[in-house]
Amino acid sequence: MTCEQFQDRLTAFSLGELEPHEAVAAREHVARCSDCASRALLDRQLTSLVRSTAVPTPDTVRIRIMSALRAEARGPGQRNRRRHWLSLGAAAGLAAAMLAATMLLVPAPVPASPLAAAWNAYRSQPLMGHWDGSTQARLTAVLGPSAETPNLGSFGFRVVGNGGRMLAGHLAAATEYRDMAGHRVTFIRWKGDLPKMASARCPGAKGVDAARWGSTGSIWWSSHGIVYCLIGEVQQQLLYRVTEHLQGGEGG
Amino acid sequence: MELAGFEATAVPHMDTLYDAALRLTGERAAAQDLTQETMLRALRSFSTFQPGTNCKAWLLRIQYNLFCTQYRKDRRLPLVWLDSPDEPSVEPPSYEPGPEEQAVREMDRESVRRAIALLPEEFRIAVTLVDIHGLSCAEAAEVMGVPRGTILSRLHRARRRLELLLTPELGRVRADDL
Repeated sequence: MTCEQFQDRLTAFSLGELEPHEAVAAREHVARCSDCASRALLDRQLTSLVRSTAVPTPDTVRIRIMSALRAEARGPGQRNRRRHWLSLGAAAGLAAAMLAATMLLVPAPVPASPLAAAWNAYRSQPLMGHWDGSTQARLTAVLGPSAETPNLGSFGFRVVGNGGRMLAGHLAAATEYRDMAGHRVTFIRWKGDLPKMASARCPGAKGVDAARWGSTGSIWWSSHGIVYCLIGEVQQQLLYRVTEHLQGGEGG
Repeated sequence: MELAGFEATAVPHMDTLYDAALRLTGERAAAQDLTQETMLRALRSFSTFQPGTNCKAWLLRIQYNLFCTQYRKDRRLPLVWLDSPDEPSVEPPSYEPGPEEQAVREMDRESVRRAIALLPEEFRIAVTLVDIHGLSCAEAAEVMGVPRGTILSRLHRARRRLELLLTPELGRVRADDL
């Protein structure tokens, strides 16, 4: 492949949209042509820059649209109103068992412990925006599929930000969600051992710890060497339901 | 009408729809209306959505059709639309950035937005669908009702234009290549 041919195909190359045989030829070319390699890098930078200009929906707009959708869904006579809750209650069995455990108020965690680090991560500057490819790649290298951002839309939570964090010496992935009312829930995961804490064991789910500090609740579990922490100032039942969902979805 | 399934499947894409609507209409009020109308239409026809296919692409197709039939007519598009402080721009990731990211960040996002807004409409929409919201060229082709090769060529020309606008010192491409 010549430089001219490569540059004609640069966009398709960057997007991974070349035919397989062309992709091979393009990779071979870029491996030995520094000029085209730097063009390809510039193209990647440009794409990353363009992507970073995305803006989120303002909360006022989101609230307006959600209420329009609810009004539309209710339709005449609101006859389907109960079905929504019945379907949400499909997981009610396990959730009910989990509710039997209450979250304990625990003393302020020892500074520098993972527990404190998670709390501090939650209480510090809210996360905004989305990690780019390189942060995602580093986190995926450490955390595997756990670095992915779970979709909690069915619980009314939307992602407002992702970030890599150093927590008590561990590289952690943190994802911040907000519900319609603006309540914040952060999902943090890192490689390590589940921290020991004075906490309640939840009988309904294996290996789940719950702790509460002030108005902030948190739920902790670990699976395959990854520690998961869900932390937020929302009803604890909701945190349990989300935990159950995350464990189901992530092989916990 | 069942909202639960729709909330789980379609509502998470609201940010995409709003951002794309801003880029289509070029103004906030119209973008809000277009997003809401798209969501309502999608809810009404949610039974026609095939689970397992790309819901984001399905929603963007509804939105693009609505835009073409109801919003594009008789509108002069303002070119610059993102100056208000009530919509914070997306911050860079907090993880220590590599040199590539740092170089990228030095460029002003606002100037990037303006540069994108200045692209011809068909280029701007292709960039919005593929580069910003991650559709494949085939999916974007379906949204815009053009062949996949057309999308690729629009993206290619859009990128070369943006490159020239945003990094004039690196703009080795000749103007007649665009």
